[in-house]
Amino acid sequence: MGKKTKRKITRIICLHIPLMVFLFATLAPFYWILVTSLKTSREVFAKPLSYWPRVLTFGNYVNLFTNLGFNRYFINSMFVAVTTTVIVSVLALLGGYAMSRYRFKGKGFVYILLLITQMFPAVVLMIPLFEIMNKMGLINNLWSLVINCSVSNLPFCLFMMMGYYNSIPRSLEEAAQVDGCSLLKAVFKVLLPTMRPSIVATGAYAFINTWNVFVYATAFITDRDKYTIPLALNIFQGEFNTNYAGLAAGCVIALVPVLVIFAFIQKHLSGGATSGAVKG
Amino acid sequence: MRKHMATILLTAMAGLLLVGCAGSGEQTGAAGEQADVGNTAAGEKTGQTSGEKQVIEFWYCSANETSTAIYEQLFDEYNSISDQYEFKLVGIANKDAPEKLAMAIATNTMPDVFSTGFYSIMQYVTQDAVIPVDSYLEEWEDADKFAPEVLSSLRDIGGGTLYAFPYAYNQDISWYNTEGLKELGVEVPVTQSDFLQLCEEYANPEEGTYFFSLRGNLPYDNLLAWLFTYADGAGYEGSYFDENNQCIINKPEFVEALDAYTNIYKNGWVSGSCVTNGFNEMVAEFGAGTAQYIMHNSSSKAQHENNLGEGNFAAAKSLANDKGLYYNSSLQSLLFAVSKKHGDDGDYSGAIEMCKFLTSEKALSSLCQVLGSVPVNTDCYKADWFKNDPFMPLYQEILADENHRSIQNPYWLPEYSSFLQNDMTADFQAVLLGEMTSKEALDRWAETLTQYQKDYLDQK
Repeated sequence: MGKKTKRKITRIICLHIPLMVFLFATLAPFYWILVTSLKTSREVFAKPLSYWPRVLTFGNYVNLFTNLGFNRYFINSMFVAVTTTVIVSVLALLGGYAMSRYRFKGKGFVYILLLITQMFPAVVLMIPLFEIMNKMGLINNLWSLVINCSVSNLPFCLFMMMGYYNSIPRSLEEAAQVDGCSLLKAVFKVLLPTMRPSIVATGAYAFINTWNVFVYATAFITDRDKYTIPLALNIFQGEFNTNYAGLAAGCVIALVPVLVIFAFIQKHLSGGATSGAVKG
Repeated sequence: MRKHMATILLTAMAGLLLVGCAGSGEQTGAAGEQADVGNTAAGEKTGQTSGEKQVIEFWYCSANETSTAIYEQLFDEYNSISDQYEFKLVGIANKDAPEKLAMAIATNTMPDVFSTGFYSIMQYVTQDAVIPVDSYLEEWEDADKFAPEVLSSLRDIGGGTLYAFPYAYNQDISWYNTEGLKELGVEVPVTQSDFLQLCEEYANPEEGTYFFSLRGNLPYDNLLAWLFTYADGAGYEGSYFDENNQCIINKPEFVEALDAYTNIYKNGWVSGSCVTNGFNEMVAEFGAGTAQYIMHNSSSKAQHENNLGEGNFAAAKSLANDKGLYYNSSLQSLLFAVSKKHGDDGDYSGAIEMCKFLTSEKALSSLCQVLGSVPVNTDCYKADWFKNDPFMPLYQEILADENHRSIQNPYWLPEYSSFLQNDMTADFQAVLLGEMTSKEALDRWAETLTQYQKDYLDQK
């Protein structure tokens, strides 16, 4: 056996096969959700187990949009996720700059304070948050989700952005300022283009977190017209009755925006997620 | 190209923003209402909206697609003819309900009426969140239409007081796969010994098929039914506690009964995953044909219909002991509770009106024939759907059966629900896995319940 063949076999055994196993383990649940969503309720439990629907049906998807109002829930989720992403990205962009570049009194304290906000599980804050939202008249209002998701996502996004700023040499914006740029102009015209992957990564983080938000939604939203997708999915699971096929179809719909976003931004994401990891 | 992209993105953003704003316009009303609810509890303002109509909010805490559609239709019909009240439905998934209600109690934003189970009602009583309804029931012209057994069972839990209106109950039974049993060529087991024989005979681990699916997670009512039946009550005389208020659940007869039950798992007569099987997993094993027989209650009918199809499954009375007697937990009623949002002397006429509507023959017939629960309004028993239902006559027969014994579980203890969910599950699983003996588990249960009973009596 030649050296080249030996290396090839080693590569297959040590790399390709484990990767294939990993890929299978990762993708199998998604495949199963997709297949379940295309089965009838009876076929979900039918024996022998079918790995592809015997009778392919799109009825579960049709039911979502015609009888269960998923189009409304989709728009609601999209509104909350997009608005939150924009708010968080803008604030993190500006706040991250300040945290990275300025020295000010109490900076360390602010840093710790931001860290501490990440240590409370949302459930612990629910009653005071509910009280505040109620007083503000925001119960059953999508803005209550936007506000809370923005506030809960901001600290981590700010840290992410701060790391990215730290990786960019200060001399870059100083050079722009020497050439006559204002500070804001230097940030937006010079730093922003270099940081595009980082902004995309931060935005993606905020979007996905908000898209999947459940705890706040279940606390602040009771009106069906204001349901977001995670909340609507919950209704498929009754006390003694779970519509597995409908639930799977709902999960597929919930996955679509996240998959589309990742398809578009994955190039930026791989660079952005690690660009702040090592200080330049 | 970039400009176009930017324009498209901006337009999309503006559109989404409008969606949110448009929503918030409507929502202000709803949110306002919600805020009013809180204020009402604080005694500032009543929840009057919709012109002259008073909004009465109902939280249905076992919502799913089917029940929500039924209630929406019923409420639409009511609202279109009522001049006085506007009924508003809020559907809440069952698993979210405890947190939602706890938050509503803490923030004074309770709905007027909410649905709950007999197992939780005393928690809300302890929190002073619901009103006693005896006096309202006395003035109720259709009070005699409530099944008396259900009212009596509920009063037992409430220490003589009725804290909620029952609307249906679930009957403990066994479900079996009709085709599966035919293929095996066996009759539906009637006694526990027949059943154990079938479990042993038809356990086929190689093929992954078994006669029975055992519920290791939250086994409560079916486990208790097994224990009491096997032990033939072991001196049970209407209470878990003897004359010294000591819990009797650790008597040797019960230890033997628990050994017999857990041996089903230890002997490999059920699937290995049964130790963690909850309701969903147990029903899935039954639906997939892995098991031919399960013990549950009437409420899982809809799920079996989905999984196996109508006519492919049937219900049977719970297993009896060799004397032919079988014990079940007392009627597991589903309730409508009136929240104490207006204080002790508040006006609850709107909430009571809603309860009357929700427990009417029409409302209960619509709901129960789909859910599989037995309505408590006796007018329903005369309806064609009830008479023609394949299961309802069996549930009625069980109630009247002289071999049937009813166990009054101590649901009056506020900690009993959490005991069932935590202590009992953990210990039962430990026994299944051989980490604890049946005696140790039952001793712990007896000790815990005795302490809870003592605390309850001390506080009374």
